[in-house]
This record gives sequence, structure tokens and C-alpha cells, in this order.
Amino acid sequence: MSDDAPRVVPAVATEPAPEPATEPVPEAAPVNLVEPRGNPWLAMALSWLVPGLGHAYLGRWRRGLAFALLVGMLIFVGLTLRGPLWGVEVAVPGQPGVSLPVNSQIFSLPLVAAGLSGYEGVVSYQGYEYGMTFLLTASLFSLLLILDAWDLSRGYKP
Amino acid sequence: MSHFLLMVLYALLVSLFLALLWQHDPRARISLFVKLFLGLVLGALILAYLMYPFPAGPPQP
Repeated sequence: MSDDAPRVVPAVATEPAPEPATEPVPEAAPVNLVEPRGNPWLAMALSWLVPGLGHAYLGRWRRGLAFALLVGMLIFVGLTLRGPLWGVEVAVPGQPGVSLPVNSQIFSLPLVAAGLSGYEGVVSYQGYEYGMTFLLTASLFSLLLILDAWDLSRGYKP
Repeated sequence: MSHFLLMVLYALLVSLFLALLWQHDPRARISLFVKLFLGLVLGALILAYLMYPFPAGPPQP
């Protein structure tokens, strides 16, 4: 190869590199699928008073009635089977003889009222464990209804 | 009321509630209800058969 061969000079970029974005990226926010309606705090409070009442307040009468019937049946069967009302004792791992009360009955006024009326579960009753399952499920479903009422009121759900 | 009937009743109530809560389309609700109900009942029956070989109570002294 001779020294007179043309040298290929790599092209040099003449345009300046684009500046990185300096605007802050907004955090992801819940998307309103429908128009917000009603007072979300009132909807949550009504759902706590009677499971399904918050949905009725927001205009979902049939859904609220269905929820009330379903949760009501869970509570009725649980009380009939003499299940415990004020939560259960959960053993602490590694601490023999130590247990913590898990009280989930506070998520629904009917359960609170039943407890304040003097109702007590009967451990020796044949359906005790089933009753406990039904009552705990009713309480957790009440919590779901309270949260769903908030979402409906804010328009996060149709 | 027998254990099995109580289990079926529990599965029915739970499946109805969750299908009503999570789905808004009627066909989707029915589909989810069927899946949840069958999953709960059949799953419990399968587990029962799997546990059948094991002793029912504590070992006798």
C-alpha cells in the first residue's frame, strides 16, 4: 500500500447531542374510569355500618343488596355454629405458650354489636371451627367492601 | 349439617362474593364463579383423598 492512498477519516458528529430530560417524571396516579360520585368517607362509613350499604349509597343498589345478603349469611351461619367472635389466638413461632389475639371482627358493625351483646363461642361445639371460618371470612369481606366503596366513590372502578 | 355441606356452602358464598366484587360483566361473573366454586370444592376433595392414607388422630400410647 502506498503512502499516497487516501486516508479515510471517520465522520465527526457536528450536531450537539440532545440534552437529557430535566422535567420530573410524574408518579403513576390512579386513573378515573368514571366520574367520582358521593363522599368516599361516607361510603366507607356506611359500608362499615352495614356491609353493602356504601354501595347502595353510591347507586349500586342491587350489588349492595347482594353483598349484604352474602355477608349476612356468612355471619348467620358462623354465629349458628357458635364460632368465636373476638378473633383467634395465634401462636408466636419460637415462643411456646405465647399467643397474640388476631381480632378482625372490627371491620363490621354487626359483628361488633354481636360481641358487645354478650355472645361467646363454644369451643366444645361440633361446628366451632367452621363457625370461626365463616365469621373471619365475613369480617375480611366487610373490609373488602369498605375498600371497594372507596374505589367506587373515587371513580377508580366502573 | 355435615362437613361436606358446610364446605359447599362456604365455597358457594365465597365464590358468589368474589365474582360479584371482581367482575362487572355478567358472563365474566358467571365464569369466575364457576371457576372459583369448582376450584374450592374439587380442590378440597382432592386434598381429602391425598390425606386419606395419613392417620386421622394422634398416635395411641
